[in-house]
Amino acid sequence: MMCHDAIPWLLATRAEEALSAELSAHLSACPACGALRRRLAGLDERVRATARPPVPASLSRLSRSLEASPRPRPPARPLGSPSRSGRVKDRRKTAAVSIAAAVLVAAGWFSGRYGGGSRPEASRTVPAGPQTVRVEPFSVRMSGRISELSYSPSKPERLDVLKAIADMVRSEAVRLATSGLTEDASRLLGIHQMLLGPGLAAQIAALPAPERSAVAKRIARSLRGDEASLLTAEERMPEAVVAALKPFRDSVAVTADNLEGNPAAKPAVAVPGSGQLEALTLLAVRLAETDAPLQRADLSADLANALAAMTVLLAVGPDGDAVDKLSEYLEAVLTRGVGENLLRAAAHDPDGKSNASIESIRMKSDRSIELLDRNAAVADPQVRKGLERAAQVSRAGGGRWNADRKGPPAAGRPIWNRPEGSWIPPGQGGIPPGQQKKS
Amino acid sequence: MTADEVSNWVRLAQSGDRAAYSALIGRYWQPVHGWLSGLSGDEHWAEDLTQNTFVRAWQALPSLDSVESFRVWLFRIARNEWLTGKRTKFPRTGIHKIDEPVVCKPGPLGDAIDREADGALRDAIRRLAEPYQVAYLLWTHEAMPYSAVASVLDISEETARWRVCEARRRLASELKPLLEPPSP
Repeated sequence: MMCHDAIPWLLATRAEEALSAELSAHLSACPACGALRRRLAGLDERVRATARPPVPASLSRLSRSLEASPRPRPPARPLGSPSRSGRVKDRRKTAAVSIAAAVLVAAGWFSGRYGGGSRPEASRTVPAGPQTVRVEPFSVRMSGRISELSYSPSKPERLDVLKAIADMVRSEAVRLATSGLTEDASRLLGIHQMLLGPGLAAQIAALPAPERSAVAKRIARSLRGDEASLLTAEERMPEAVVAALKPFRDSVAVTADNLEGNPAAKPAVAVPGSGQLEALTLLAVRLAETDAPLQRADLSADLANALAAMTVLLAVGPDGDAVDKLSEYLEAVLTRGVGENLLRAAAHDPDGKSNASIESIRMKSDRSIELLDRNAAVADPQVRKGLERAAQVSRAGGGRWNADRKGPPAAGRPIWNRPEGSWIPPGQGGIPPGQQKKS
Repeated sequence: MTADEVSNWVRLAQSGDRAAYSALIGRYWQPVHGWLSGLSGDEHWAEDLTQNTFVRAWQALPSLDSVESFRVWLFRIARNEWLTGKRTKFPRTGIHKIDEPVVCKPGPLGDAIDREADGALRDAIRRLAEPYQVAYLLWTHEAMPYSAVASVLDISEETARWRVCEARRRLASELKPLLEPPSP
């Protein structure tokens, strides 16, 4: 036996445990391993000796607390009888009935949410005293946080935003699971893991060593708190709900473990499914990891297009507030995410080598407004109103940065984004298909 | 107290017998308190957490399915208390230190060295990352097998073993001068 075989055995066994003949032979021949065994034995002995005796005052206080606490109900089954499986079956039956009921009630609301988007999601109202508080749909709230990533220049700040998005996803999963929609909750797991793994852990691993340690410590501490909250909440939840949420808690714990143990280690790649929220999550992760202004502008343009598509989808529903909110986010992404980053890229490129890329990104971002305009042109009057308002707000965002920029000329931009005086008359090109009126 | 006696006390306590539960508190107060104390490094806070653990265990006792797994179940509650307490009270360093009576008994040099060694040991344990700390203290203080450590912490047995080994490796290396008397 060699030292590298013996050491794991020594580390895993207690000093008082019997050793194999092979290991004993190695220990008697190897002074280093013999010394390690003595050190380990001394260590365990000292640790055991540090245990504290009971504190009488505490015990009397505990007795008072117990007097005040409710007496536990005796178990309904005979004590010690092997009826666990029966109880589990009953619980499952109850959970199944409650889930089925909840699904029936909430099916309408959620059918368009994760099931292909055939129906738009709507915001909820939550009673709060004499007034009511509107709760924005989850995808809108998530979009808001993701837009922040497009214009946060500092990486630690972006990592905090990613963490906040992961928290938001987990809260939504808890809400869905406790409403009986455990399957919908589980669909958020891929997104959650993507945000924690490639989103947080991988990017912390890529930070320079001194900064990495501090950020890892801070995020790990926060994740431990999240883990504790979930554990506490789970105590009051039915078994089916706990089972649905356990993978979320596990991914929080694993990320915290990694950050505490070896923050430089890169986590395994997580591949989320295909869907609107998944696509947004991928964009969020890439926006958080990218520092180069030109790339950030490009990703922001992608985000603008995704937000525009979501705005069109939500505009079909009754939720005007959500459309307005998304328009604000879109405006911020165009102004700050695309605009500011392009200005920054242009400032670092005095020779104009990036002009072609800048122009291409600008054109891409303009497509988001084009999408809104095109859909507004063919939409019902009520929907059109919301889309036109969204396009107007977003156009202001696009226009603002265009006014500030000192980059390449405006030629080639869609007509609504060109400076006054450079418009091309209808019929002479430049008008996007959705804007052209049939005579 | 034998395992059978513990199971008997647990059954009685489940039916609401406070005297039986007191016996269980007497049996498990020190292990739970010692473990939480090692984790928190704060005696007073550990005391609060231990109390909460026993109160919560009393309330949840009817839901315990297997009386034989009482110890693991109790430590799971203690772990939850620790995680929850840490979130709400963290950081607690120094809060209770002000009122803490300082015992400065004049004694032989050996006592002073022991006290210093204990302090170094506690500091080294506290410097371990929490997952290692938690697993290692369960393994040493409570002499739990890896399977029980895994159950308390809701991790696989392999992970439990790895965490304990890693903690021992780090401590043995860091505390080498303390654990290995200088050769004459």
